[in-house]
Amino acid sequence: MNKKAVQWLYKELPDLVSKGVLPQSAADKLCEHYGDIKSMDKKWFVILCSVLGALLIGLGIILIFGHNWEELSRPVRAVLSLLPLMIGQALAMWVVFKRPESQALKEGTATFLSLMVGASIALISQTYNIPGDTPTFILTWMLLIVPLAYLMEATIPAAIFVFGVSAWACHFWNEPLKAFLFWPLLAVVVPHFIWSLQQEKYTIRATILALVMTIGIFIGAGFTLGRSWPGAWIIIYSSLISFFYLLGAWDFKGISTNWQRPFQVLGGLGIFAMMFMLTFRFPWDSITGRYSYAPNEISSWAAIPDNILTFLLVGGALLLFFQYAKRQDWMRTLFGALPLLALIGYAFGGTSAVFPMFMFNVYLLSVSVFRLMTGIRTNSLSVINTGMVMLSALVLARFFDSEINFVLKGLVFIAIGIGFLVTNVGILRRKGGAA
Amino acid sequence: MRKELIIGVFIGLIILQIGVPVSMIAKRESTLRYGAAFKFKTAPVDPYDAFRGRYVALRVDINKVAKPDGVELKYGQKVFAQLAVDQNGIAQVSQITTQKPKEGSYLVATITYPSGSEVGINLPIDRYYMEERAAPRAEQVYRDHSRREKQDAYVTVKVMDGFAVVDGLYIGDQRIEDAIRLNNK
Repeated sequence: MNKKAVQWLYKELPDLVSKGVLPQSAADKLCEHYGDIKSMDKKWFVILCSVLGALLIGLGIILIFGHNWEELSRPVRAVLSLLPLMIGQALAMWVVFKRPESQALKEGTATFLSLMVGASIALISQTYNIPGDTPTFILTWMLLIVPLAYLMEATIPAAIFVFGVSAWACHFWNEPLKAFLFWPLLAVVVPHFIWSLQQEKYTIRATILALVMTIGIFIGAGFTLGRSWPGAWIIIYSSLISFFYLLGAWDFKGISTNWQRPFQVLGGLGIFAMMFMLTFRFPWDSITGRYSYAPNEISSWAAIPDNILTFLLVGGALLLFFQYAKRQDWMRTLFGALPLLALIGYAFGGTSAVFPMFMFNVYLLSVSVFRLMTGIRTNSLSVINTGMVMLSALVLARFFDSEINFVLKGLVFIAIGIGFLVTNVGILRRKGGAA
Repeated sequence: MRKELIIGVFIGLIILQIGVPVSMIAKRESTLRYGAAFKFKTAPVDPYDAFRGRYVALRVDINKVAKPDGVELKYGQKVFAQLAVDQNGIAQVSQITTQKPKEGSYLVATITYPSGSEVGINLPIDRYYMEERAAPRAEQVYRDHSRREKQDAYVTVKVMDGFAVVDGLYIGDQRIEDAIRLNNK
């Protein structure tokens, strides 16, 4: 529930009643309906505590068993490795049967059980010196816990699953067809994510999962997409972060703060990082394949799913970009132009890195200046500050850039400085004229 | 209906969660009990696994075998490595095949290097778990020992139906755990 909105409502209620907009009985009913704001806080605190408690105890058990007690005989260890798992299951079962209404208990026991499944398999590996097949270990563990996200309506097992399958995909950087399974595996938690969005769009649960999914997708994309052409990562990551940014910025109903838009926040940060990186030479050099490793005999048909998904991703990002352009939401359109410019840069980058580098310098400069101006116009300090940070990063990077000669650098700096002063004077004049 | 379905699926999940580790145990226990025993010459080094604890990584002496005639091998391909014992009682791979051998003991191995007259293989014997503080010492004990005498560290492995379970790690006919204990005194 949107706490800020409820707080605002409570502040307004006495006024509304006194002015006769609402009868007192209606105001009471509203209070009753939304409940105490404090109790909402407490509920989350309880869930957080139970999750943290379960995580710490679970990890502690894993560590204690990790000591590998020599004194224990093999049969004792075999039983011991099943014991924590069975305790976790008993707790989870008790909650499902007896306390299905408690969110905190469900989340906590599901977290604990998720860790104990891993602990049990790890212990058996230890007892029987099982060869270190880490991907199989991770995947077995993840598949055994992901149903908990649905059966117990618990988000932490889903989050563990996302991290797990990302880690799993990392092991197959040279086997694209296997690594590609990352995407169908990730899709397993999507219904849970949609459910959590529907349940409580304004709270921490969906936000945590969104954060984890964004990070997981960033990692997974690196190991599964664009494997067959060098330098494709420029287009893929540009599209991916723009896609997140523009999707997260979409005006869903009832979202009031940026914290409820993890996709937008992370995407925005990512866009800045990417723009900044592309003002340097090394990304464009990676297109020529000079510094890239030889893709490990990736045959053309093994790259088909990869190519299809890449195509859809780039298409999706561009489609969203045009949507924002159509609505004349210029700030987001400007940010979202990243994949388009990355495509243009990629097309030229194979022959010369100079043009794309120049283009991205101009791009970052325009975005940060536009942000500054927008911030000044709308009187928003946070927008001004982020614009300043972007601009300073660009200025510093170019100042220390050893590739450009001093005279040229000096001239460009002076030109931009003059540009600032002229705009400044222009704005002051306009303001003066308006006043 | 919905609640019954959830409970039904939940119980199924619990059985599965228990079933996977139990079947892991059962497979290894039966191999340890009924499998054929082999000694593999090896060298131990000490790494660490965040989840499973400390282990000594085993570098089994066998990593190359003659390429079988008329067979194309690929990187990462699974093959069957037939086992034989040499005059010192140490296990050797006599040949590799792509068909499951009808008799004798064999291991499922992975091809690491497919071309040439000798192909590289990786046997599924790569770690031996030890107590937290013992594992780093194992490497030291092995090095001290191999400086004094010949290099004769080996693992005992039980093998059944292509499946291997490492039983013990020995340095000069002494179990590594005992060797470390003596070394500490």
